[in-house]
Amino acid sequence: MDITGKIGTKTVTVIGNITYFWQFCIEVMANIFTFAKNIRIASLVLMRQILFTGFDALALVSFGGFIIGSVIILQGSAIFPNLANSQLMFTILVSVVTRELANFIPALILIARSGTAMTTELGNMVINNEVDALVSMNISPISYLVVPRTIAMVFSLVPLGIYFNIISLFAAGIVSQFLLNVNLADFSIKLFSQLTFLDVFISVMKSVSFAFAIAIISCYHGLKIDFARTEVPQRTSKAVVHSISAVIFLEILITIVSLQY
Amino acid sequence: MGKLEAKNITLRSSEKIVLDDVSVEIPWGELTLVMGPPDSGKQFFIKTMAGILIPSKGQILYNGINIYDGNIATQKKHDFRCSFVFQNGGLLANLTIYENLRLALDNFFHKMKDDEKVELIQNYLSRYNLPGIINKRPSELSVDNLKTVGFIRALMIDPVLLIMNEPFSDCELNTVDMLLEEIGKLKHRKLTMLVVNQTTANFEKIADWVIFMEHGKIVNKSKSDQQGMME
Repeated sequence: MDITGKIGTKTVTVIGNITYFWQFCIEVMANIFTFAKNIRIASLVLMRQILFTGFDALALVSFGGFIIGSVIILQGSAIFPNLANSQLMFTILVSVVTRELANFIPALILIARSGTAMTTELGNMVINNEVDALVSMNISPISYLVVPRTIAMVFSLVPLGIYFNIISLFAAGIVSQFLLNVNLADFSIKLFSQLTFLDVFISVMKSVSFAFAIAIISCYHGLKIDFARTEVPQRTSKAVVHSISAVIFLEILITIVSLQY
Repeated sequence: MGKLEAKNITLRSSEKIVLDDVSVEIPWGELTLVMGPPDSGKQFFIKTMAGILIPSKGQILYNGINIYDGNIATQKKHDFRCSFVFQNGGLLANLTIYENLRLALDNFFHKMKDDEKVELIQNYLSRYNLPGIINKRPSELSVDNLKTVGFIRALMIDPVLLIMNEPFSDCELNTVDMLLEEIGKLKHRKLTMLVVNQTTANFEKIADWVIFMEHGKIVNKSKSDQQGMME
């Protein structure tokens, strides 16, 4: 095949994959609205996913939050020697932690922990005929496998984002008190004076959109695996790359939109 | 009494035609054995008959109605329940045996009470000498037990069509005998069965019909005692 033929074939494949992915997204969204009907059979999957994706990630998110909060305040103290009186430092803290990192870092943690687990698990289920078994029992793999994972990702990432936010700001306050001799009460007052409802709202919106993107992309790649076990690590790595790209894209998009307000 | 037929079924897999305009009537209340060399399309055929794969062309008709029309309500309306026994059991690895069996019951019998479902599962497992495995995961079971649980799951929903893919492969003789006895009872009850097997071994006495496939087409369908390969 000549170069033109190869480009043509590749273009058709890419367009086909994008179309298929959007159809998959639409089907997932449609099934989310009818999830209540399937809660009887899918509740166990939902509970297990929330436990694994949300609760089991608490330790790692706590560690990340503490480190980020501490590092930002330590770096800030080098730029603003009179930290307690610097309003700008608190503005930066709220902008960087609450608006950006409180969603972004937990999202990366969940891509690494749960996104990879979803792709691997669903891929192995396809290979072991488990997905076919569900279809043979008239159970939709979308409503039984994908929707509970998507809902669990939303119910995990939103609280984890809020939790990361609290831990980071708390760590910043503690480090300020003990290493920089800034009174914790003063720190809290100045911090909360900078925090608005819009900051929290944007933070939650980002968490929700990241959660949908991570879950749908990870499940899509898992169910796309065909026959061979060797496809599992390949698809998992693709899912990670695509999830990170989607999160970065959404991060930039929502930040640009939010800056208009 | 029902009438089940595949009508002009064409199925593609990875751009390759794996079922090529297949039309056949599956004799109702009888056991039909599907045979053929590797890559003849027999696996695709039974998965299409079970509604697992959707053909790019053609329909599966039950009493003249397209039974896999994308709406599960059609099957419920016509009281059509098809069960599939997978070669490896097809059990969900992250569920216990109880949860696997319960999933099938929860999906098909909405009105059945919880304690009735528990009792039914326990009765089935006792009947097949497997009471100790109820809380185990599929990975903890032998091939024989996996197949037996897959068989139980298929029977529990009281199907009108039972499709089995290599039900005896890798099984020990006593399991083969036990499953054969159960299949014999189902045949006596006039349950329609479609079975893929590499050879006629074990099916000489119980197969009513034999379908032979090659290159995605049915090349022969005959009464088992008339089939040359059965002799």
